[in-house]
Amino acid sequence: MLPLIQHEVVNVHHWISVSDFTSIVAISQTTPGPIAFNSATYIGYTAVSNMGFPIIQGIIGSAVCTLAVSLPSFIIMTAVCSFFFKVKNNQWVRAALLVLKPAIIGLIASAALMLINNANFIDYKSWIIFVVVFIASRKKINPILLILLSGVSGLLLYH
Amino acid sequence: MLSMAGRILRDKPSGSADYKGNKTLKSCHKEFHLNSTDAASYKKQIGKNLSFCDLLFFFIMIKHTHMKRHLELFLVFLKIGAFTFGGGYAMIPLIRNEVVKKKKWLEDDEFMDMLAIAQSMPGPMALNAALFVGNKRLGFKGSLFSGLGVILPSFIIILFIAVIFTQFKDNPVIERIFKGIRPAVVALIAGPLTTLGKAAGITRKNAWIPIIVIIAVWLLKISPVYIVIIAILIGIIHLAYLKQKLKR
Repeated sequence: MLPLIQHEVVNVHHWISVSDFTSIVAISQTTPGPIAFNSATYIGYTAVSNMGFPIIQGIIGSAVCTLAVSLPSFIIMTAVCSFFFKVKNNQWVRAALLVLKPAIIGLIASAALMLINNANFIDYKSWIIFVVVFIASRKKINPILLILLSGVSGLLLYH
Repeated sequence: MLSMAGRILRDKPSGSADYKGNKTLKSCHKEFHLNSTDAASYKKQIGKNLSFCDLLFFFIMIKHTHMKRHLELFLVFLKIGAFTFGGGYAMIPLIRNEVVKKKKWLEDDEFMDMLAIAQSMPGPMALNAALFVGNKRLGFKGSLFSGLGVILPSFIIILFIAVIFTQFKDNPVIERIFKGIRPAVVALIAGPLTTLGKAAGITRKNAWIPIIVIIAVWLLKISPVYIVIIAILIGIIHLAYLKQKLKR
């Protein structure tokens, strides 16, 4: 989604500069929530305030961008859900899901593998956190608690 | 007044399972049926007689009946949205913990159905998943609440950073916290894979599917979109082949 956003916002409409876009993506990756939303919200605000409008207009701009980026999902998922709950036990749907579900597990696994990179794992301490959280998550400890604890341990371990 | 509220409530999809066994609402329906003879006159009066008192009563009714579930849905996804660091896949363990383990709104295999659909539809997977759960539980209105819940935290946080905390990225404390969170998020994504694998029906016979996907996506950098399309096609072609075989 990010290349699409960059093309429209930077190249076609010239709402924000390339360096603005890069730092927006960096911030969107570190704050909670889907990256597409975070960048849409941020771009909405930056684009409007770049045009010289005050903060309130900027907030409206970001709200408009966020709603716009979520609208297709709303429409599609509403249609698909009502359809899916009806055809859930259809043999063709079952047949597709029979292959799709194991494939999704593969996708999740490769997402995890791709995240094991130099940006996320900087030294042995990262690996200690990884192993501890991995074991703890399998012991059915609340993931939100684990995220909070790992944030605290990052604060304590790194200087 | 009560009967008019009954009329308004009846216009909601009262046939759905969510409204069954609700005493207040049932009594309200009775009230409606008692007065249903002059329903036509209500239609005329609704514009004139919709007083503040009626509205207040209506909102109190909602608050004590099915609105509670909408609010619960909203709050659960608000919590999930606030703690999802690092993109859509990071949301999977959180949704599973809340929706499958705590609230028991979905079984593990339904959760896999949800992941399959959320992944194969356009739009951010996290929002799609939230909309699916909301829709499954309380229909379209439910999806409005869960969707809003999942979007709102990131919206507020980004606005806070954009307007006030513009030095966020270069703040050393924030950077240290994230050095701890980043590997933890990877561990949280990898953690439930074996349990989810069982729910997805992975056995020794079809273990080749996830392995090929990992090779294709991780090593060959093929887009997940193609994986989803190809997987669906293989499933359908396989069934068609089996049917053809049975005919002969």
